[in-house]
Amino acid sequence: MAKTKKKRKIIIRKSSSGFFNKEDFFKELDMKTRRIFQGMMFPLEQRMDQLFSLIQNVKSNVIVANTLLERKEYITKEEFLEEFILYEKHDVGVVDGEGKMDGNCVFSLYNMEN
Amino acid sequence: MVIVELLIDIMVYEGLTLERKKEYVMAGAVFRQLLKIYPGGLNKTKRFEDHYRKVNLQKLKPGDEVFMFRSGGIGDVMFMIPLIRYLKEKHDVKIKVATSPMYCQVMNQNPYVDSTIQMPFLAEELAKSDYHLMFEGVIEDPNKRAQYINAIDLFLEEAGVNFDKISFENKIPYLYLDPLDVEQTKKEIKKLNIDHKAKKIGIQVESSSPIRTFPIDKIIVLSKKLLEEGHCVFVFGGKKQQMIGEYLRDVLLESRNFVNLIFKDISLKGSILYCSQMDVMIAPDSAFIHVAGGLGVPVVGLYSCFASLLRMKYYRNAIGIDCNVPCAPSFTHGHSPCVKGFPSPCFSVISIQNILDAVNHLLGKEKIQSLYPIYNLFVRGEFIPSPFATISVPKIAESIGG
Repeated sequence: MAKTKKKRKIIIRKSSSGFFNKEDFFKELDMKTRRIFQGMMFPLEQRMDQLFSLIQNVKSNVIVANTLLERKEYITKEEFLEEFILYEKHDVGVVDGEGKMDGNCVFSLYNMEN
Repeated sequence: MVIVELLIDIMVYEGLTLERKKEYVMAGAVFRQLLKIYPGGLNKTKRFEDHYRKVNLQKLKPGDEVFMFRSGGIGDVMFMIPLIRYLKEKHDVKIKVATSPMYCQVMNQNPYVDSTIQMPFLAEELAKSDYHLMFEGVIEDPNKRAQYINAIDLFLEEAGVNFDKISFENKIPYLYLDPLDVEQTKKEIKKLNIDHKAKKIGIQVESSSPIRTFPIDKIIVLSKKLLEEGHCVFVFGGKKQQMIGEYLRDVLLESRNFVNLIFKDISLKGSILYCSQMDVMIAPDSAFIHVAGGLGVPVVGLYSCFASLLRMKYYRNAIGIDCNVPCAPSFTHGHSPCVKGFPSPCFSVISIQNILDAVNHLLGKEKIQSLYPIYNLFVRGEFIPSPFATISVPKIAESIGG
């Protein structure tokens, strides 16, 4: 009989200081998963740092990042990448370090009399 | 909406005191807030739905009383005005309006309103009227139609009115002012030590919601540029914005054409009267867009998480500057900042020059068309949804003056 894999969702919650950080995220994982995750993300660490710096200013009550790591022990680098990219795509509208967004403004003119 | 009984006396806003042992009708959000401040101080007693008699246009008879209520904000309360006029003119009914104490002033001079009371109101008020119309939640989630239909149309629709058959002239939420008050305000402005030949530009410094608040550093630069161009700048706001007003006054101290209207005893009525004397108003997605729209004052609206079309469509000489970024319009309600940071990063795509161009267009100086040919696409007020928007938005092909 095949072993049933237990699914686990990871939720990043706002830390007590009101900001997200990597430490808070790792607290959500147990020791074994943390080691796997850290080892796995070594080449991705820089990107992870970027992600965390991006969401440090996020002020919503709860941001659910439940696709970052879905299975407790069996996640692969490919799966992680796939989910990570999905997560990034979901978070449309990237803000750069100066607080600027890509885009432009558009004018709507209503009922002009001249 | 909920009906609650008070177990203690509770003072809410603007000195309005709710008495113990009496039943009041209030918005669910107000109930939750009060419960946090006074745990155990109030109890839900009856189901609001059992006492709510929604207006039925077919059964409405002349002389019936229609009791309409919405707690706030100013713009949302003003969205009731075209419907009030319609009901009065078409059905000859009596109109009673309830709103938060500070917004009652918006309705006081309205000739179509027979009486105004403050919210929260006594539950017994429900029984006194023939029909009710409650507007809490009409333009908020989960009403997805609020993401592509103008708010005024939604308010009309709530009463069962076919909004397509109402002319856009009758959809303007006109504000009525006492001529004596207007004269007094003109005199007050004449007394100011400003260049009286200069155009008067009003700026609302902050929205009630942080997510819709335009960055203050840009407001400062904008004010400086307007002053450099020889205009007078009047800043508008409520008591909560007093510090911002004082800060702006300090920063722009050298200019005599700068007028801070955010003083201690400023009333909404006073601000509305001053707004009526402006040549152009600039405001984030907030009160003074609608006040200016209701007074016929040309207005520039700075929009982030809502499309200007959903709010400004029926105002005369109005320009909505919308942020065309992947996450907009996000239709985010509430009083929290944007999840991406404060001030909302999408405002980075609106430059000071963009706003100045809009102002100059309204002042008849330089036309936007010659500067921004692509913007002509928006002249008809068609909503261009973001390709990243999560909902499909039908194109509204309604011809309005352009």
